[in-house]
Amino acid sequence: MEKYDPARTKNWYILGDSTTEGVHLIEQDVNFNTSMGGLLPEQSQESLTHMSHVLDVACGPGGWALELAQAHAHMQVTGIDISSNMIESANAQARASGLDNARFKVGNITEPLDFPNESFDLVNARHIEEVIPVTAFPPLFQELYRITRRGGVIRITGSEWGVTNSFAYETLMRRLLRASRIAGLDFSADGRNLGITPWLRRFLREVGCVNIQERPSFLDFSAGMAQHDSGYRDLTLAFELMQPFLVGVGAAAPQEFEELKQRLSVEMLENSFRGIVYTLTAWGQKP
Amino acid sequence: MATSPFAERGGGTPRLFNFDLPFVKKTDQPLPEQTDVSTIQSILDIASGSGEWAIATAQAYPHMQVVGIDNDVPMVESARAQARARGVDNVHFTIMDPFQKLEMPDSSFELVNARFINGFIPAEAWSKVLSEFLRVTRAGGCIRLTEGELPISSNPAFAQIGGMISQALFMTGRSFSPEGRLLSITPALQRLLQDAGCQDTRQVVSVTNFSAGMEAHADLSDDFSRTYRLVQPFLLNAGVTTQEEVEQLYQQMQGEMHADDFSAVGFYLTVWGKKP
Repeated sequence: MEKYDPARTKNWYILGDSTTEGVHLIEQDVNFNTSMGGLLPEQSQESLTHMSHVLDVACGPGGWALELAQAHAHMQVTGIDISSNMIESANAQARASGLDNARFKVGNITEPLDFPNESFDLVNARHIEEVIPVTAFPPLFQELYRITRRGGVIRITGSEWGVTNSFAYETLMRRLLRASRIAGLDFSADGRNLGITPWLRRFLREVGCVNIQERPSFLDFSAGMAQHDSGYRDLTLAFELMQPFLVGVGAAAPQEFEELKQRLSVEMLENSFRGIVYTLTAWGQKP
Repeated sequence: MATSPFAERGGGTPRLFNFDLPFVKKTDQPLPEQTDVSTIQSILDIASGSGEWAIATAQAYPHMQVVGIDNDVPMVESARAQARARGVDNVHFTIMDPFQKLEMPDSSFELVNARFINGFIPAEAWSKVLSEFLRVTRAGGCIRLTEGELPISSNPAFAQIGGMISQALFMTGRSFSPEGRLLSITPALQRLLQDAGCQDTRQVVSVTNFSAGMEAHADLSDDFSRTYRLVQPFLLNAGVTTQEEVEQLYQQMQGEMHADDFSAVGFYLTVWGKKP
């Protein structure tokens, strides 16, 4: 079993960056894009036509960036990610789809970004709370602000972890929150929520953004809902992949984790299973 | 008297939160998700409390008759006085237990509305309560439920009292969570309506950010100061805290709420379905 060690790998992927995690992230992208009502549902058609250079940070295998490039031929979409596996897969997908307006390169968002000042009309960050520690957020936002053009938009999306009626899910969440706290990935003041959503607006405001707005969305993966099956696959895979992280930082014993995982599979397939994930998107302008 | 977890009910019926009121106040839209309100002639507001939602609704839609029911006599009197003071005459408040058999004929309303009632009734009572709501709804009319999870905050005392409430509601059977981490009421709502017999159920999410500097901050921090004071006897009875601890946390929370770095958001879900 590979050990979770961000200091060694400079990689905070708590689920690892294997091909399996790539598949998991692609599926997660599709689910979130559906639940949010599109790629940039809050931006007007008018403002979309003025966006020609877009950056997606911590793009993973490139799902969002590729879809955006496909949907808007006038945009030049760039994606960066710390994982060369993810970047290779994203570039291969761009070639296979014949998209010459999407490009991907390796980049570490906890370090200064390799782009000139004012390079982008839109800088997008989705679910980076899962891949960088809390302390990396303020310097990252300084960098995002620097590379955004005046009048351009910085946009960040974060999710709280799900709320369900499954004992196994809720218990695994408590373990995961404990592990996140140990690893410095936890925003919460209470250990019950990840706690990212109240911070989004604040990050934007503190670097100097104006006209900050917010838009909530939710993903209902209850039994009987359209997103239940993909949610089930996504979660069982995610919990499989996070075992090294949870056990590695000492937040769960291997035996207990195994039992909870099995119980989760049973509970999520019951007709009575109910679960929702709440997501918040915040965006603001560089004046 | 309705089953309430709040010992100090005579002094008011504190809901856990009123996440939707800042939006209603700002937009004059108490039913933002309903595409056609012209067919709605009469609304029943369950556990109308201070009457704010019912009065705002009557004001926004002069063609409607709005009835608010609550079993807290001083609250009902104060709601009536509010309506009079604001010159709203298409809203009426009645003293009635909203969670027992309703003293109203079948098929009386086009819309039965219940906001943030989760703390008032045991989880197992929901189906019975909803079937009574359905009885007084007209065929083709709808039941509309709005519930939230506890607010998410980066301020420790405020968040910690929320955690105690969650735990205490779980211990007293007023939670849909299997272990008390969160309330888990919001994912339960749609199925509750379907099981009660509603059709074409739909749900929409909203969020209220009441961090320092936000429009909603003043109203909701007052609301939480009141609620989190009234909830203390309930927390003590449930045994999740001590007098000393909760008092100290409450003082700390007051400080947090008035600091520049106070940040908190509340997600809430509105779910509605038709009576066939």
